[in-house]
Amino acid sequence: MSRVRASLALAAAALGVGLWFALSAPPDVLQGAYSRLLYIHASTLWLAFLAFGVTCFASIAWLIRKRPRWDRLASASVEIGVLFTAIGLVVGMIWGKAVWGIAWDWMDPRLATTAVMFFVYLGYLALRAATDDPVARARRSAILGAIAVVQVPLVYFSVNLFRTLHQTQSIRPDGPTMPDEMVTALLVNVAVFTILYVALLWVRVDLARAEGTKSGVGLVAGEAVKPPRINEVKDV
Amino acid sequence: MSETLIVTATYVLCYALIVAYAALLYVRRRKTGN
Repeated sequence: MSRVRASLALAAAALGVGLWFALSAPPDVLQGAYSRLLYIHASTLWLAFLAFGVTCFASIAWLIRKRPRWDRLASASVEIGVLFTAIGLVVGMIWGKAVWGIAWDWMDPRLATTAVMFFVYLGYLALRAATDDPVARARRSAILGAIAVVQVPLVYFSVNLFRTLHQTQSIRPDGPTMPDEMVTALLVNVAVFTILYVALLWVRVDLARAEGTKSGVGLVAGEAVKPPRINEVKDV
Repeated sequence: MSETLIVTATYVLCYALIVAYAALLYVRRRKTGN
């Protein structure tokens, strides 16, 4: 439990640093203080991409090795990714309402693909909840987790592939489109949310392992059966 | 409503959601024991 507390304390401290950078960054000339929503909007969605990438990796690892730890890692990462996609969408809607005049437009490819990605991963969690057998649950969710990741590049490049209401990337290979103070605040917040993701993932995987050990759920059939050792067998 | 108020409220909402999720994990972990 002390390691769980330490992880959560580290994440809280990192969030404080990120908040300080976000609120002390200069406002945009056109958008004013609303531009500060960038630091949480872009960071949470970056984290969601990372989370779904980790899920894909862990899902493929489960399909190859069939070890419960890969299933725990994949499902924990989806749970955190879905939470942060939801936060990114809500912040984006508040920002869109303030700057564009509308909170949502289904004709915008970036918004539509992000919403589809959110619902697909929500479906992943529903699929797990609906399957009782641990091996079937791990297999089904691993297949979905390995395939669903194709949405990540689709969401990311949708602003480049189609003409959209949503702006293109602010940090590009030919240089950022923002002043240095804003780039610094964004990169610090991306780093902070990555630390937060790692801490939450560690705690979530630890919880899944503890719950699985307690109930026996999550083990591969036969894994819970331990043969007696010769020095434990007496008076036979 | 002023820009600053909306931005602050959004940050408070998001951070509250993250803290609530972390607290949920912590409580469930404590109940599980081990």
